[in-house]
Amino acid sequence: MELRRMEEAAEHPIYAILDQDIPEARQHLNDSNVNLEKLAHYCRNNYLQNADKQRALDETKNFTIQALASVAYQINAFSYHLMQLFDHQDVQVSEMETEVRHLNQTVSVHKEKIARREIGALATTNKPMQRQHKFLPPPLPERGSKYIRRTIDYSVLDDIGHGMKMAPT
Amino acid sequence: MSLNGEHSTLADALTNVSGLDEIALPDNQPCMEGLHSSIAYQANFETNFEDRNAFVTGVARYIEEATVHSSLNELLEEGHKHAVTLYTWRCCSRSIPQPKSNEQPDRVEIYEMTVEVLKPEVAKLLSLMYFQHEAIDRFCAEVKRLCHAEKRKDFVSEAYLLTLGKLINMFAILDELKNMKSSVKNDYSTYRRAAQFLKSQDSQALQESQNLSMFLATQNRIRSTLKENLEKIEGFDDLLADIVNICLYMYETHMYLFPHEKHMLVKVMGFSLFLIDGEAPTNPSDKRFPSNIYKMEQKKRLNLSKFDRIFKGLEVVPLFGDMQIAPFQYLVKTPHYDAAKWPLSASSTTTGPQSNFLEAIPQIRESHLNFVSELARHRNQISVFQSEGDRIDADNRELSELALRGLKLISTWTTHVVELYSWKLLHPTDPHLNKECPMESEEYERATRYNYSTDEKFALIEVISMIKGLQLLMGKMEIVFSEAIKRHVYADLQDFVQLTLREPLRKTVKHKKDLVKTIITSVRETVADWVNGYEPQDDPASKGRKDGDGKYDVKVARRCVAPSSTQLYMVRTMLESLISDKSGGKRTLRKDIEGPYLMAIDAFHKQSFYWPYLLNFRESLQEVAADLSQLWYREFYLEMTMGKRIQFPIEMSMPWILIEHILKTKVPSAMECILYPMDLYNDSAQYALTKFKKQFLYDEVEAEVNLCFDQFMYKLSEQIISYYKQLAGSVYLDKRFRAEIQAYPAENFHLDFPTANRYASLMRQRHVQILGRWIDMNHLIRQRINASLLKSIEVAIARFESSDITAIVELSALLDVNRLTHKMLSEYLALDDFEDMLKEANHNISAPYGRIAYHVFWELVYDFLPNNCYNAATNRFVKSKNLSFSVSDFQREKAPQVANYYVWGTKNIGIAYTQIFKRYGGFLGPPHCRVIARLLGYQGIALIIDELLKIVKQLLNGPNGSLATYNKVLMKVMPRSCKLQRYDYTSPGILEFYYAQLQDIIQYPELRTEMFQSFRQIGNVILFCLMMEQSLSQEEISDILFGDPFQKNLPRPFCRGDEKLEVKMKRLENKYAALHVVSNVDKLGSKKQAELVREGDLLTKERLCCGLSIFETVLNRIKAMLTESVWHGEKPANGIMNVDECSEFHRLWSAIQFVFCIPVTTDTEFTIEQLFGEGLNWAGCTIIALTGQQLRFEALDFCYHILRVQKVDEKDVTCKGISLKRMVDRIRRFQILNSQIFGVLNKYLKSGDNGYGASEPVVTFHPPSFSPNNAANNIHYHRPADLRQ
Amino acid sequence: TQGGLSDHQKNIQQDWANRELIEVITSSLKKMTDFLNHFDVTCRERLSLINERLCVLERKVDVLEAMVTKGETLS
Repeated sequence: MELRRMEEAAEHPIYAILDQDIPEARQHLNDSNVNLEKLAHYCRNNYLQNADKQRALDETKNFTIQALASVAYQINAFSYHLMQLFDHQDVQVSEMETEVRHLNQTVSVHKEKIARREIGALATTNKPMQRQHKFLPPPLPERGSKYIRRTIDYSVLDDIGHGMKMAPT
Repeated sequence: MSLNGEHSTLADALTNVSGLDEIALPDNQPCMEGLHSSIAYQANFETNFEDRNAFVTGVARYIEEATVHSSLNELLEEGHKHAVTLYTWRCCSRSIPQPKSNEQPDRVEIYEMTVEVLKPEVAKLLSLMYFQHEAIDRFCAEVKRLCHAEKRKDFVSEAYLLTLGKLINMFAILDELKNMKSSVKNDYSTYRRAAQFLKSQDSQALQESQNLSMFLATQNRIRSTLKENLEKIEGFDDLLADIVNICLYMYETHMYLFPHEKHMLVKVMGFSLFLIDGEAPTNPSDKRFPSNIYKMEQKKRLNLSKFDRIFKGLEVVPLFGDMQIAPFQYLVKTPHYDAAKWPLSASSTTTGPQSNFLEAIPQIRESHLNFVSELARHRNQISVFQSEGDRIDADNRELSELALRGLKLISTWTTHVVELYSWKLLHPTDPHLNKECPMESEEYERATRYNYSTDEKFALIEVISMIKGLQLLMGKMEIVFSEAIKRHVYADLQDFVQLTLREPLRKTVKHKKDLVKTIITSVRETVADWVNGYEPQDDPASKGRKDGDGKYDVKVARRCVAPSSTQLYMVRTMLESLISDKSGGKRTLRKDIEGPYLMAIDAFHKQSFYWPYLLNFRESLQEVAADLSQLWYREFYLEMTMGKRIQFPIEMSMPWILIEHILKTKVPSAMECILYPMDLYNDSAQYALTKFKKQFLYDEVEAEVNLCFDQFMYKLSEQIISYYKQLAGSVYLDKRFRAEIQAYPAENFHLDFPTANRYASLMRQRHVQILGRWIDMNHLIRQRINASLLKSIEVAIARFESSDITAIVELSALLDVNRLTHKMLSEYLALDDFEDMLKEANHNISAPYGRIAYHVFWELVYDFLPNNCYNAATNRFVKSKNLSFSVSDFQREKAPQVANYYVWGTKNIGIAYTQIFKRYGGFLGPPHCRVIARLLGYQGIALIIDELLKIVKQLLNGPNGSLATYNKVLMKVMPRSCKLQRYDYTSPGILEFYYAQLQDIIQYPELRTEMFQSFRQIGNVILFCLMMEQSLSQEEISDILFGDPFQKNLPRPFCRGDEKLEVKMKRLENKYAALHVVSNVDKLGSKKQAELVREGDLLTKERLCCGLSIFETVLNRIKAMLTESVWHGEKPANGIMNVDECSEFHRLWSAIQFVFCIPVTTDTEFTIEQLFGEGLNWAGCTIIALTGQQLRFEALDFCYHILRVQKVDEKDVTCKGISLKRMVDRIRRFQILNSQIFGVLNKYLKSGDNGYGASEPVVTFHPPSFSPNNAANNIHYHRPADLRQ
Repeated sequence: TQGGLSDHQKNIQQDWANRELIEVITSSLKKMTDFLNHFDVTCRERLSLINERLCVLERKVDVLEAMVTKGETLS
């Protein structure tokens, strides 16, 4: 079973995503989560102890910008992988669906054959059947009625419902 | 998108963030729920004046005031905690076991346990007592400080007065809560009893517990101590009057945002007036300074008429949770109360506008519509072409005003809802007012369940949906709004400070008004953000000189940042001091500033009031509708039930009342708003967790939500299935039948279509958030609908199993209705395949034959065969009237009693359909057979025919009581031979002769009962098989015709003389090539698909009706059964045929025919047609045809002979009680019938190659050889004339 | 104080600048949270769709399996 899974992984990208990309991206996020925690502590202490407050502040600012950029990037990468995963999953599910549909049709064809065999036991050929057509062409083609133009009579619907009657102009 | 190591700049970071938007995130679920999300991010920069020392340039006094402010805010926080402990207090003493008597041995242990349990609770009460004591002291100290002689003249800022007002409000709440909560007192007294018994307390603790019990026991304790201390301060009434007036001013100019702020203002007004008004001290030594609000009104210090109008406008105000209070009651309790002074509120006749909710609805609806459309316009504008950078000030202003208007709208609507709710809580209905309210209804039930009319409920639902809908829309635009607000606030603030203030600064510097100058400069320095980093030195205004010729323009920077809370507070307070017109006698500062600048400052001051709310847009958006969460809390009413109720059932809970109302009334417009009342639970749960911080409250909300959601899902799915079933039932109902009914409308019987309802959007909900859990409603509904569809199919089959075979037509119609329902529902839900469901319900998945097949077979054998009589004219089997020949008295199962939506949808449609299908009830004919053919399929029919043939075999030559045995018996009794008498014996004579000859058979008792019954059953089997085959071939032909276009069999087109048919056909085929399945799939599909399609194509072509016949096999099978000699009789003596001998079956059949041709004399007797139908004749004739005796029968039959003779001698006489004429008529009729039967049988027997004709044993006879000289010659008969020799 | 710029004013100016950076950071955090919420909603939608298809498939396979294995329906 494992062997088959391996060669299937080669050909089916979904396992590639599942096995590497997503855990990797998640790992990145976890790491950055931990790092940022440490970084925050460091900045706070640095600001408290450091005499030159301004420099500490600038350093913190810089760190925040880096953090923002990296987190945004990681989130983007992670969501991209997830989206890929979903797309591949869709493909895989539709493959499964076609297979099941085939199975279903094969089974129903088979069951129909059994039914035919059972009824066949009860049936004997009695007359050569020649197909006579049920729909006979009309002797002469119906001629489409020509379009005659009639002016619109606006008061034709007046008697429906309780509308206001227009004086026939 | 890049992560370029350590040196990415801010710009890179921002591009990374905006890069996130490129990922397409489709979500096509109709949004019908409130504003909530998995991750809520709120950045709150409220510093509570921690950074006050940073703004040294600000006026020192206001900085110091800021410190007081922050400590008062903390006091308010703590006050809120205590209020929460009081409100959410549940009595635990009731559940503590009390020792029955003093000697009870374990009472010491009980008391110890009680003390141990109640100790932490009592600690809370102690902290409450000390807190209120300390709070009153702090408050009175503050008041004393402000009422000090020289302080009177000084200016007290609006924010400060408001904070004092909030403190007063806190005292009012704590006081009312303490009064209301009797459970607190009971718990404490139990504790005290236990503690005293244990004598564990030292004297100091005793004293403390004494104070506490006194504190808890005396009603209005906090209020009275507060009043006492206040009255010691001379001039306190003046300050309180200021507070009251500022509240009045803010109330009238709507300077509040949240509903609870508005209510707080009204409460403060009421409670402060109560505090001011006091009894004048009788003895002078008592240094107290109470005053009289009515005197103050004469001194124009208070305007009571305004208060009167307010207290009338808002009779009931929510105090805390579900506790309500009527502010005017405070006034009534004041010593100098004078009803005349309060014309509006005192009169109890007129009811205030608060309870008249419906009146406000049109206006709310209209404002909602306008605002939402405006919001949409802005949203499109932004999303289409406005990037956030280049928005100009005007846009930002417009957007922030839009945001503010939105928040205000939501707030007003929520206020309407909360005020109606609170009014209703204080005015529960009673059985007289509201008829539906039962006598024994509980207090809370009368306040919620029966207290709202249907319109009010709909109005509530509508307004709540508007609130939550708008909240969601604005929540979605939160980023845009907060950006715009920050930019707008910054721009306004800097423009005001750097530009508008220049003029007043110039004037004050010129006219040496140094106090105002210092204030203005300090304002500018506190908050100004100069464009190039420092204040322009060369600004003439700061020197008091004119700008000179060129307009001295100051460039003002633009940033997207808001002032810090302290900065804003300082600026606003300082500006307020400038424009404040009450400054205690000394010339007010406002005189030093000219009119227009004064107006500008005032306008800025008013406008900036809302900035704190706007800057925390996200929190304000949540908070503005947070009061809806109070609709669920009912601690006050729980307390009133004195322990009878631990929690109220869901029927009394407001959110559920609204949900159920929608579900019950099924109003389409409200149906789509059903998730909003469910969202109220989210709010209550949120409030329980964040504000009350009580786990048990959250658990109760959660428990109720679990129950309500189950109920909701159950009822919704039930409604959906019944709606679509009714729709399918109505669509499927025969149109003419419906027109007929509509023509003569009976008053309570109408068959109209169900009113269209909007379940679609509910069914498409795939992720609804309830209490933080994401629920896939589509999945839940799908499961339930699957189950109910399966059940309705089972019910259809069970109904068929509970009735006779004729009900199969109704079954087929019911299955079609279910199929239509399934099809309509599959548009939204991924239901299982209908055929699989049918197989499952029919138990046809693992078993070859389903329940329907078995029941059809069962009905055929036990009810159809024995009881039905066939009639060729109508080609129907009909039951003989009230005569049942069923062998055993078998009964069918009872029909299942289920809800209407499991059957036809509604009762009326059900009645209509039963009427329609009653017409199929009386008979079995082609329509039934077609349905049987369709439902059972080949396998079912094969099973039935096999079984029927087994029965025929059983009937023919079964062991006991079969026809073979009876024939043998009759054969013995049959006369050895029975000649055809000559004509000259005349027909009556012949009749008598046969009558005599067949006397024994006529008298044979079993003949008319058992034998005829068996014959009839065999006949019915044969006829049924014939009819079955005809119906089956009709079904097959219709299938083939449906398949034709996909198999390249196209109808012949019309072609005139000159055109060739083949050419036209070719063109037609090319035209419809796309339809030809096999070729297309071969080209496009996979190998497996091609193979499947080819097989499918073959199965569609090869049907039974193309060249195969079942009926013929049935006949041959029966023929094979007729092997016994009794059917064929002995070998004919003369080698050719038996003429007179009666050994063959056809002779016997002639006798039998003679018997049933005898006409019936009395009308009580039944003719055999009535009893057995033509099945009898069919059986006889079939046996004769199959044994090849047809010609002999027709030639030698007794009755035919009588017929022929009577035709000749036209005799009409009755002999032996039989009227010859009537007998001959009957014979004539049966002769026609027999010939018809033989015609049909021969058509089937002869046509086939192995038919009867071919294998006829032809015996060839050689002509007699004439040998003249043989003695045997003369034995021949010669005419006398030839005998010459 | 140099060029009329008292250190107090410098602080105020610096405060404005700092707070502006803070606002930029918080607004991008808001944007990210917004994105995450949308992402979460979309994922739930897609998961629900896949779950739906899988459920239907599963029941279909059960039916087929029942048809094929149990009972002598194939003889």
